[in-house]
Amino acid sequence: MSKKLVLILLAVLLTLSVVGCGSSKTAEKQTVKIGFIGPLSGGNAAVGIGAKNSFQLKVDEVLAAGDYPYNVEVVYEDDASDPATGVAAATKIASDPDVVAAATHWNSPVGLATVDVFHKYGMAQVLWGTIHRDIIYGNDYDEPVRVIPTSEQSMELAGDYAVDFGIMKWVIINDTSDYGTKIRDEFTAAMEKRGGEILESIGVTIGQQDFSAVLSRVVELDPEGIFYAGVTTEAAGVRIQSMKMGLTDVLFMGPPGIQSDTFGEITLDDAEGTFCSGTFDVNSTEEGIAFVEAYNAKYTDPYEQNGPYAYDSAAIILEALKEVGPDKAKIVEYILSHSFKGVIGDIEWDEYGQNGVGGLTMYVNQDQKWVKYEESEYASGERTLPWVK
Amino acid sequence: MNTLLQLLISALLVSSLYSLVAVGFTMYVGVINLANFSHGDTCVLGTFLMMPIFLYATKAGWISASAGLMIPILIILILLLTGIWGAAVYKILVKPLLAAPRLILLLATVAAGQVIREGIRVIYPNGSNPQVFPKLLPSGGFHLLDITLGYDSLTIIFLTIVCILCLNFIIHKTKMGVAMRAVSQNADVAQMMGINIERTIIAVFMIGSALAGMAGILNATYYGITKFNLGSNLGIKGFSAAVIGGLGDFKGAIVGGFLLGFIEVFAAAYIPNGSQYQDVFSFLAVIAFLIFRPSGILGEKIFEKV
Repeated sequence: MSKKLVLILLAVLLTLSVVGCGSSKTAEKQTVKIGFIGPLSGGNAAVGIGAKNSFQLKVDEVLAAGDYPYNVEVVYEDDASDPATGVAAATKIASDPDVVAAATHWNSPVGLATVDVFHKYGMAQVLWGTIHRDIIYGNDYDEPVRVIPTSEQSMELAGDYAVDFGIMKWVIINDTSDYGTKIRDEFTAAMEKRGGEILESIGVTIGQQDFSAVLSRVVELDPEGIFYAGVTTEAAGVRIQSMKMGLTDVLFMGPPGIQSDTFGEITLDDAEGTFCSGTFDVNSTEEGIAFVEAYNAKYTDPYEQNGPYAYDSAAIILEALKEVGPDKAKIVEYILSHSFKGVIGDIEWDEYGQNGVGGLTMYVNQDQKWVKYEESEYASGERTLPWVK
Repeated sequence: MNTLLQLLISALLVSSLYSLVAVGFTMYVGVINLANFSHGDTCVLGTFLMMPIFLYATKAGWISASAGLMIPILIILILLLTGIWGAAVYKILVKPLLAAPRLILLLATVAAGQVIREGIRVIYPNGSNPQVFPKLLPSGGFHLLDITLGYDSLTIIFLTIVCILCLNFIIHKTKMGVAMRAVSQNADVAQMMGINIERTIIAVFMIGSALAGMAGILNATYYGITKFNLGSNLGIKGFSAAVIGGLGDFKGAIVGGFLLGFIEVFAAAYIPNGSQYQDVFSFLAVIAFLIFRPSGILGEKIFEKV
């Protein structure tokens, strides 16, 4: 009797263990971590949060499809737009043995500071927002690739439109960060190449509130255009104060750094007719429109201008992980040697890891929103640009 | 010539704002010999109190119906609220530490500033980001001698003059002002003469904080923006102006504010690449005053420097 009972118990145990093994084998995929770094706090947090949400959206979509071979966990770090904080965040992610690749940064000074960190740890760094040329071309590293176009490409576009508009005499006001000075140099080069003239470049500091002295000088120089080389908050201050100083019939233009809805929210009516040589217009492709719909269904914060690039960065990392497994070196090699299809179009690297023009677009501010110039009421003639004589 | 006039107007505007902060700053030093380093953050507190109240008033339809009357009422309300905040800072933080060394008290005010800053960042929705501040002053302007004079700039300069005249009246023509001056000269003797020291110090904190609230609101409405950490810069500028004027000297603070504003604007305009170093020039002036004329520009009284 007892022998029979022991046998039954053994059989039950054996059955349970087999069932258990089977179920754990089918349900438990290996969990792999990937990293995301951006400005999640501070003055540029809106852009960082939009990119973070877009990145997570792609990860969720891929995992929801069910056939992805890994469980993917995203490690988010905040660089607060500060190079020192960015290096600390990059070191934390790159030195974590469980993290296999990362998508990083909106601010160029932060990207310039962390590119060495990712190289040191041999981790793929997909740049979704920084546009300083030297992050990619200033080294011979394999780890960094960039989906967003460079500042140089963006300033070439600005130069083309300046010539089209017949605005050839410019004053540049730049912030003194690496980003601001690089944009200043590249816009200067773009205009000089096209026969334009930069009357003067004037530096201001990030966080500066009063630009009256600078703008008095601008009034004296009497330019046809003011180019603000910097980011949203100071650009808005310069715009508001330039209007107060009577510079109402001068073309105001900025780089992708001012392509945030915050610009219109701060400057209100003064935003009208300002220009931004910006990034991809998400409504120009079917994939872009689908991205917007999926994003808006899930998040209330705007995806801002870099959302599509962050979304594509996630797609690139996930494809590489799927193809070569959680091996950092192989992921670096895979990303650099392949081209991808994203919402921004075809992503193809040059020999340094830089994507092509990636849908650069000229925007005009209409009713406090950035609108693609060609589709605006200014281009159709319904509204007149304030500087058109 | 036109540029010079335009710069003069700009310098007057910046100087007015600095003077307003400096006058508040110098009151604490003058009466209880305390450099209140939460003063700049109190300016920002005023702006973050104004925004939700203004939004509520707009939604309720009060602003559009009677903007001319409602906006001054809202500003007075904010001055009251920041004044109450000042009294609370005195009761909770300063009073228990009055007997402690001044350095401890100074650090306590630094901590109070930190509380305001981080409090706004954490509690206010989207508090880390710059916030669009409502336009409370008349917009537009007019041309005179080929320069543009904005109504808002003129209103700010006018309101600063009004605030300074009111303060001057309080200090020199009221009983409370006499008490403040008495406490400032000798607190023990003042107490023996029947002056209520605590009430006098509370009044100093209330007036000082209300002035900070005013400065914050004017600064934010002119530049159209406020941010949780703007107070450090405003506070440092106010402190610098007070140092130039002679810490504790009411008239000196006004002169110091104007000197600082003029140095900044004209250095930015006339020194090549000066704009990116305008803070450097103003702090060089502060260092020069500390070394060569520590009693300040008017130099009547020497206070112990913090």
